[in-house]
Amino acid sequence: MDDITVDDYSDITTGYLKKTVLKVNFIIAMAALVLVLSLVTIRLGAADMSYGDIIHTLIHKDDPVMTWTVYDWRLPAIIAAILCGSALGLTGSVMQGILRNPMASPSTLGISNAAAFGAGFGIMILGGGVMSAQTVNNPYTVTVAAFVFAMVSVGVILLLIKLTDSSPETVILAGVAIGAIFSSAHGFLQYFASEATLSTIVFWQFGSLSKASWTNMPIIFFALLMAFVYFFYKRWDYNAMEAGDDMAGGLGVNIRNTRITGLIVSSFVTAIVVTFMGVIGFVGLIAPHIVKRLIGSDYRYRLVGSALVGATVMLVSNIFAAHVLPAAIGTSVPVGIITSVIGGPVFIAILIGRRSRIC
Amino acid sequence: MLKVDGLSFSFGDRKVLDGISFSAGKGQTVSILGPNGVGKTTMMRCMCGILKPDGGSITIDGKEVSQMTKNELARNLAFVPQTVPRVHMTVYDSVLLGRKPYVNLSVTAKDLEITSRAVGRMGLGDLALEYVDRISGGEFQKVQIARAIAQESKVMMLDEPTNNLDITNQHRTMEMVSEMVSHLGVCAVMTMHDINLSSYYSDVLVFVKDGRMEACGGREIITPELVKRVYGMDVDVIDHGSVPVIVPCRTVHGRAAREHICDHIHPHSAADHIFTGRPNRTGEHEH
Repeated sequence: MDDITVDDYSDITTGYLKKTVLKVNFIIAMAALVLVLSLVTIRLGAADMSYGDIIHTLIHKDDPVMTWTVYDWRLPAIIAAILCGSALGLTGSVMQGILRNPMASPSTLGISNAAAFGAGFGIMILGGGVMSAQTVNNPYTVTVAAFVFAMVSVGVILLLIKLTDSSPETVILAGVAIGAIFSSAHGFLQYFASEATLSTIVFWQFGSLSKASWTNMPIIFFALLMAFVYFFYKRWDYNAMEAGDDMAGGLGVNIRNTRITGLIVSSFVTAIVVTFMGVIGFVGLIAPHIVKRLIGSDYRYRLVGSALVGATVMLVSNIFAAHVLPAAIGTSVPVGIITSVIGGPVFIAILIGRRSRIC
Repeated sequence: MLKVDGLSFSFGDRKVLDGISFSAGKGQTVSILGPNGVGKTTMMRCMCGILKPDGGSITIDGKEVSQMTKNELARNLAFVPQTVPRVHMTVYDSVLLGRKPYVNLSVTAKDLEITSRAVGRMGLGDLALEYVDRISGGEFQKVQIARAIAQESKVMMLDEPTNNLDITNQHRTMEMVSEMVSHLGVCAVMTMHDINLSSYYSDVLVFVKDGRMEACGGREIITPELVKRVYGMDVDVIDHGSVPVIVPCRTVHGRAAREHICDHIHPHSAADHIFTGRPNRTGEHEH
């Protein structure tokens, strides 16, 4: 064991603090990027607005037309992109840690499949209605049905954990099984649905920011806020759990409680996002990986980083879905399709990068 | 300091540990030895509060471990598991994790000072900002021990600390543990497979078979009969100074290994090849 002087360990601390500043700078840069992308998205579209007009309207709200365009027409989708992207990035990050599986994401537990089935059930069986102006006739019924079934899937997973054990493998296998069951049940509904009902079910399934409104935003916001506060409070536990259950236990973590509570909170937030916006794939998977590669696994920075990268991925996807593609092909597409189109190749690139790093 | 009395544990109907008792004082190193699957790691998990024992008591400085909160236990007892996944985290952050039982809202200057000292003590200063998934096995083991140092506990548990290390790194690791025990005045408990390594570096040896304690004491308890009873293997015990050295007489399959060894090297010479002397504080060997 080396003898160490005060100067030696001061140098080590100084070096560490410098590295920490880099991580903080990354978070500040991502926050700035989210802000810039938000302004760019507000500016894009039919109405001609300068950035000065946008900022003036955001602060003063003195021009009714501009206020309507910014606040009622464009801002809800942008806020929804930021909130949903943050929620998916955040929950994906936590789930990858507590399940110690790089493939874990909000959709791993079958919650999205369950919510999609719930929505289909609400539309077809509970009379949620057929598609009209890119929404359903009775959105409340559909929303409640989607949320109830999302929470049913969480309940079944928790029951399976209680009956077996709380190991990451059990949780993931239970999630895969639940997802498969709800997916086949959803297929069953679609098979017997009329053409109009089928198109409504299929449209709902695609994650779309067009469902965003000032009514559902506060619900997503408070769910996200609650989850963030809880996850941030538990950041040291998640760091310890990344080093394995034995290490976490030795560092004073109540592994079973932390894993189960983390799953419940993640599932709840995911269920709310899927319920209001539909299935948005890959954001919860790739955002934590990008952050992990850039600033490491430390949850003290990774949580905020994953939320901001998730928001960025959603905003960029939204620009493609709502502005770039309409200009090219004449119609907008649901943002969920774009996140998968972007997410797939990005994830493959991460895997290749990871492989080359190990070699 | 650490007292284990009548420790028992079962997985369902299968009794894994049955009445294990031993104690270790400040500045002592204890090795728990026995064949694979006898419950050594389970014993560690019970002592660390990860598993709840069926019976018996574990106390640190007279206080029952089961009465401590998780954080209080972590402040009294640090655990270095056998296998630790290599996450994409810097060496410094990995060692800083040892401060988890002390951190409330944020790390303090004291936490950073203790972490930096632990990093420096283990000679990891130059690697402090390197990611642990990019360092060697020996360096990674140092990180685990540095983390345990940063945890500032009275008792340190190491589950097979020399697992997967070459002979040089095995001795380096054991020397680090010995130095840590003498420098910091802690008590170290290790599960081990190598009897020679254990007898060389430990003050107390605990032999376990089928969940029961076969023998407990200093290195003088190592006899061919004990090794035969615990491992089912015939050995010679050669006295090399005050340190006993185990040389196998035959393998469990009955192959005459002893003759094979004796054909080439005299047992005393073999012992000389294994150990050339006890390590001193600078890591060099005394002759």
